This record gives sequence, C-alpha cells and structure tokens, in this order.
Amino acid sequence: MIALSDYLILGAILFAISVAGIFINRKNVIVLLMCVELMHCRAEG
Amino acid sequence: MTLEKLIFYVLSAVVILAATMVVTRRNPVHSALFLILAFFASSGIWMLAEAEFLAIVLVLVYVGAVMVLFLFVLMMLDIDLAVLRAGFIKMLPLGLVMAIAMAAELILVVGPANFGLEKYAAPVRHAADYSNTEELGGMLYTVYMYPFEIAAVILLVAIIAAIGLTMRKRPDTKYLDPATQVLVKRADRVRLVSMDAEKG
Repeated sequence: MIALSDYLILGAILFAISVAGIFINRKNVIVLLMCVELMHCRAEG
Repeated sequence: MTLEKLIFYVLSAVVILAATMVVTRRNPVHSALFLILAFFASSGIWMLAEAEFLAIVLVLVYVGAVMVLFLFVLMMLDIDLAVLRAGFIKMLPLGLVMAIAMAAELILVVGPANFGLEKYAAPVRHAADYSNTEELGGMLYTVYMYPFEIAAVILLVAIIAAIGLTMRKRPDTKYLDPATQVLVKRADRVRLVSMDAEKG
C-alpha cells in the first residue's frame, strides 16, 4: 500500500525542483514558464 | 515490495528525472519534451491513485493543449541559445541550496511521521466498474455547486481582464469604424461615366 506521505513527498521534491529551475533559468522566460507549469501540476496533484 | 509500490517508484523516478532535465537543459525544445514525459508519468501516478478522470485530463489538457502551445511558441520564436546560457552557472548554487532547503522542509512536514500509513490508512480499493468521473461530477454539481460557480465567474473575469490588457490602440492598424462603413452611400464610391464608344 502506498502511503499518503509518499505522494506528498514526491510532490514536495518536484516543487523544489521547479523552484530551483526558476532560479537557474532567470534569463529564459519560456523555461521559466515551464517550471511554473510543473509546479502548478504538482500543486494540483 | 508489492507490484503497486514498484510501479509507483518507477513512475516517481521518471517524473523526478524528467523534471530535473526540464530545468537543466539549455535547449527549450528539449525542456518542453521532457516536461511532456513528466506529465505522462504523473498521469500514471494519478491512475495508480484511482484518479482516472484527473489522469486523462492531465494528458488531454497539459500534453494536448498547453505543451502544444508551448512548442508552437518555441518553434515560432528565433531563440538565441548563447544568451540563454548566460547566468546559468552563476545562479546554480543558489538554486540548488534553495531547492534542497525547501525539499527538506517540506519532507519534514509531509513525511511519514505526519502522513504515514498509521495516521492516514490507505483508502479501500474500489471495484472495477466504479466510475470516478461519475462520482466527481455528482460531487461537483451538488455539494460543491456554489464554489464551482464562483470559480466559473472568476475565470470569466480573468478572460475579460486578459482581453482588456491586450486591447490597446495601435496607431499602425488600418481600422474602419463599422458605423461609417454602413452609412456609405453608393454615390460616395461609384461614379458612372457615360462616354462614346471608340471608333474602330
């Protein structure tokens, strides 16, 4: 059985990756938008 | 380890790898393609959590609409890769520190200590003919009717705001007022000239 915490930890890791992406890709607005999209998708899940 | 857990870990690994590629690739087209992979794998995870409707919506809306739009914009723009590389290394340590700090904090909060199987038991599996979509629709249009309508109104306001923000007077557009067009008479535009036929 998969615990609720497993799903939440996956969401937390992906959220952190997209935050890092926003820091790294400051010059690149399109990838920035993709990071926000990823973050949004995680927040939904 | 059960098969269910195995599928979950494989899909999670795919999602995390794809997400890392999205933020580190220099070429935006590669990033977009990896993002599509990440969405597909997340859709699999949602399917595992018995959220079939949401899984399909994720594929249809994100992969089908949003990512196609992204790729369309990427291919239309002429992107200078050298400019995009600038500042990548400089911001990398800060981004990594932020990411690790945030992930650690979030995991401390949502980890097994607070949301483990002992605290929240896994929900009972439904039968094969259980309709997730029907359940969702039933809830949405009865219990959550009012919030649903509020969300609809907020989206309408957002549409109007988006149109309002992009509507601006452009001096170079050739714009004709429809009212003046309708008022035009035949005599304003056409002049009948009567002339003799030329002699061959």
